Order: sequence, then structure tokens, then C-alpha cells
Amino acid sequence: MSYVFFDTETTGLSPQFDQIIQFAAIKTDENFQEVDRINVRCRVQPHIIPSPIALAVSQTPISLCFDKSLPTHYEMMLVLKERLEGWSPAVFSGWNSISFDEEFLRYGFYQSLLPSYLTSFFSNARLDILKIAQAAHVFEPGSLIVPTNHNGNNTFSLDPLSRANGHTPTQAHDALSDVQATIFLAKLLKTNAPLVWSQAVRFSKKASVVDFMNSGEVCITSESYKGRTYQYPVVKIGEDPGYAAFVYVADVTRDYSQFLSLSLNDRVAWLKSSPQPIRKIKANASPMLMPLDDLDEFQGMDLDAMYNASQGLMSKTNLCTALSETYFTATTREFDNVFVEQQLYDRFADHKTEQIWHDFHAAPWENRWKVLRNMLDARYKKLGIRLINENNPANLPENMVSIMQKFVQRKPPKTEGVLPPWRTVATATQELVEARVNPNFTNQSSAFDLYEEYLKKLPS
Amino acid sequence: MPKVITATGKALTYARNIHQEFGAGRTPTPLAKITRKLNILVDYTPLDRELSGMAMIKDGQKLIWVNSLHHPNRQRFTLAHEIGHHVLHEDILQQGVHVDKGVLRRDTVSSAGTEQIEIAANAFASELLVPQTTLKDLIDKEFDLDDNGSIEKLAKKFRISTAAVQFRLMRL
Repeated sequence: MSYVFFDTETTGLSPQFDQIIQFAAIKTDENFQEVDRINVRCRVQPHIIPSPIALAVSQTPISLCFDKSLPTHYEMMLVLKERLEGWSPAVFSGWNSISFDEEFLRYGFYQSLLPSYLTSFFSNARLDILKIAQAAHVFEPGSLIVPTNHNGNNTFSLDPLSRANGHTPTQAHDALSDVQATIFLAKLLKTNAPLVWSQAVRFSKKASVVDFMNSGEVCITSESYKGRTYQYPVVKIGEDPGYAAFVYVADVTRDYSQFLSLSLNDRVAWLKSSPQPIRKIKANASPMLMPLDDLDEFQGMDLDAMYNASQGLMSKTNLCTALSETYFTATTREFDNVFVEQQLYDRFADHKTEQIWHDFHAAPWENRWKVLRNMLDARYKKLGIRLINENNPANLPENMVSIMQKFVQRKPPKTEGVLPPWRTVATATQELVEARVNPNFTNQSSAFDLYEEYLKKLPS
Repeated sequence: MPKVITATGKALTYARNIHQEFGAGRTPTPLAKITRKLNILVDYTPLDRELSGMAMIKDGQKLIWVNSLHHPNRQRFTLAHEIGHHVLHEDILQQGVHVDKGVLRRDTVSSAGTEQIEIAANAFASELLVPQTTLKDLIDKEFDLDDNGSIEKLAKKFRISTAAVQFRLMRL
């Protein structure tokens, strides 16, 4: 079985409104020996203004963002789809990849009319090496040397952590170099923290997490904040009514005996108090769980008493239902995904839609608009038009040309006081001011000057 | 500890004793707790599709690999089966110092039941996961096998497949 370690450099932090500009991946065998690799860059899409801070971090000159010798974003995503599908089945792994790089990859595929969930399907599994490192530091202390930052807090940033453990990176925040650093740490963790590594692999597939949580066994869930990792012994009490992969768990060390006698407002307030007694575990996001049965001890607590407490809690179905319903009420917000870029998770593409994607990619550019006319899913019709505009605008229908010209300018919505979710000239200008005074970027003033020139040429 | 046990009856006895000693009377059987008590390290790892698991002893350390890509029910059976090898066939695993020779694979050969040691490990796993006394108690007190859905409920309770429950019921 193969591993695929991957990393991205991006135009900013929003998977919906930014994009990948560099993607690197190394496929390895089960012993982390390289088998194959890919390292590609692409142009920035015409409607996206890259963040000066993101470019400074990856040391990407603004000129490279619009270098016409590079493939377009769409062309790069096509290449990635072919290559990553060809590498499947594999364990897709990265550093903080589940919440960052994976999201960019999914939204990149979505906005290119390609299968978004490639790394989860085709019998693939997913691992986040950062989560494993944080858990290893707690459950198998000494398995890693964890450096501290200027505030004296532990840091799990890839560059300092890999250096502290003996890795010499070729270039920090370059995607390929970061992949190599991640493989280095993965090797180290598999050897030095075998229990944590094994549990991470065990729970790298949704079915295993759901099955384990349904068993009623207690596990320790870890959360990291500002370099510290906190653990909570939890057991399942319910699940999100709309999505069973979101499992609600209760801290078994807390006292729930008064909960049913509280008013609704007090119940909500108690559930929101810190540390929260109820948490949500995303079964499809490779959560880092440590089953209590795998531990000899946990923070000096009586493990059998904890197991008995969990069984007692689970047997009180009324209480579990009330806790779940209140948690749902307290935490669920109605998100209005106004813009098509945000609508990936609104619903799955049906079979007919996927067939039209296929026809779209196979057709010559002059026929792609005709293909899109058969598309019933409005999201993909809109995204498809953008792809034609970016890659072959001469083949846009006449009535679309001015609409696309206006779209590319990305003017803010007219509602006063409402900030758009994408980066505008105004917000990019503000970011540039911040970047110039950032002590980490003191050697990049000439790059910022060039970026400023680029901004000045954009319609404000 | 015996050298190599192939008799099904003895395998069942070993499974019962281990469940009694380390299982803490729990259903489903706490396999992780049992492996920890038996000083066996378990490594969930993505293996080739046709391979369920492996057992070996390396430098005196008992090891089990479980294919993390398989369905959780199958993983549990694999784990119980490999525990069986460690308990029943330690002498064979000791030869595993030479890695290739010492690894016992649970594959299509064993599921067809053509090797005595695999038959014994399967019997051990079956009893460890679904102790006969617990199953009989449940059928007497909680489950009516004539009810639709009782097989599914039993499978859920023991965290095994419905096919495994049916197989187990046939051997009661």
C-alpha cells in the first residue's frame, strides 16, 4: 500500500476564494521510500488577487503568478486529477492537510468540474501528520523534540519542528520541500510513536471511526491550542441529525445529573462553557482518537471507573437525546452560501452531472458552451462558464462576455457595510501595509514594491 | 504455554480463559485491553487488499498487523484471529525471527479452513468475540431469534458481521 504525501502553496487562506499556485506530492511505498513525485505550478486565475502575505511566505514573486508559460489553474487541476487517481488507492497524507491543503484540493477540483472527493474515494484513506505529532507528544512523550517559539510555547510548525528533529530542509514553505520534511517526520513518528501512529491509521477511514464510536468504548480526543494539546475522555451520545459522520461525544469526567432540570437557555450556556462538556468529532476527517483500552493509564484516573461512567451515561437515553439536541441548537448556524465558490458541500453531484463534466473536458473549447447548456446543476454551469472565460474566452457566447468581464473585476457587493468574502484591491492594499511592517518579511521590500505596482494596475 | 495447538476444543478453552481473565465481562469483547494484557503490540496498517493481518514475534516482542483498509468488523475478526495465533501457536511464530518464515498469514487458505492451525485460530477468534455463555444468555433473555432484525442486533452488540453471527449460532 502506498502513501502520497502532498503540500500546496496558495494565494491565501480561503479554499473557496483563493487557489493553489503550487502543488507537490511524493508517492512512497509502505516504508516511505519514494516511488514517484509531482511538482507543478500554475497561474493565478484572473478574478483572484493573491495575498501579499501568502506570496511572501512562499517567496513567490507576483510576476510568477501571471507567468504565461505556466499552465492555467484548470490545466493544473486536470493533471492532478489524472496523477492522483493513478496513484490510488493510497493513504493521502500531509501537514495540517485535512483542514487546509485537502480543502484547497477539493475546492480546486470542484471549481474545475472534477471529482472533489478523490482523496477519500477509490479506497483511499487520509492522514494528517500534524495531528499525529501533537498526539505523540502527549501519549508517547519523547518521541519528538518539540521546539518552543519566541513566546515560550511549544511549536508544531513544520519547519522548526523538522529542523529540531534533525531534518535539513531545502527551502521552507516551498511545497516540495515541505513534503520532504513531512515524510521525514512521518518516518520518525512511525518508529518512535508506534501506538499513536497505529491509531491514526486505524481511524483514517470514516467507517472505522463510526464503528468505534458506536461501540460505546471510551476514547481520548485531543485538541491543540497555542502549542498545547488538551485531552478529553469521551463517549458517543448522539450525532448530527443532518450528517451522521458528525458524532457528538460527552466528556465522561463531567457531572450531567442536573442537566435535565435546567432551562433551555441554561442548558445552552452550560454546553458553551469552557471546557465544553460536549464536543463534535468529524468521523470523515481522520480524527486523532486514542481508545482508553489501549492505555495503561490516563492522567492518574481510574480507567475502569471511567468506563463504568460512560456506560451509565449511554444508558440514559433521555439525557443523551437532550444533550445532543441542545448541542445541535447551541452550535449550528445557518450558513447562507451565497456565492457559487462556496457551494461544494451543499449537495453531491449526481451521475448525469458527472457525465457532463466528462463531456465538457473531452470537447474542443468551441463546443464546451454547448455541453454546458445540458448542465442542470446551476453551480457547475456557472463554474464551467468561468473555465471557458479563463482558458478560451474567444469561445464564450456574446451575451456572456460582458458578464465575465464584470465578474473578473470582482467588485464588492453593493450592500453598504458588507465585506465581500474575496480579496479586493482595498483589502489587498491593507494586507500589503501589514506585510511591510512584519518582521518576518524584512528582506522582501522589493517584492512588495512589485506587488504594489501590480495592485495599482487593477481597477479599484 | 503449549507448543502448537490445533485442536478446536482446546482453542475454545483458551479463548474462554482469556476472556474471563482480561475481558472484564464486557460485550463487545475489549480486544485492545486483551492485547495489552498479553503484551502484544498491534499495528493497524494499510496492507494489500487480499491480506487481512499478520502475526509474528520479533526480538521477543509479539506483534500483530491488521489491515486498516478493511471493514471494521473484519478488522476485529482479524485481530482476534491473530491473538489466537499468539496464544496457540507461539512456537511457530518464534520461528519468525526469519521474517518470511515466521509470518502466519490469514488469507483465502485459512478462511477455507484447510490448515489446522488456521481452523484453530478461527475457532479461538469466534469464541473470543462471541463467548458461548454470553450468546446463550442473550438469546434466553433479550433476543428472540424468530424476530426480524435480531441477527442484526446481535451483530451490532458483538461488533461482528451478521454472517459471523449466523455462523456462530449454527455452532451453538
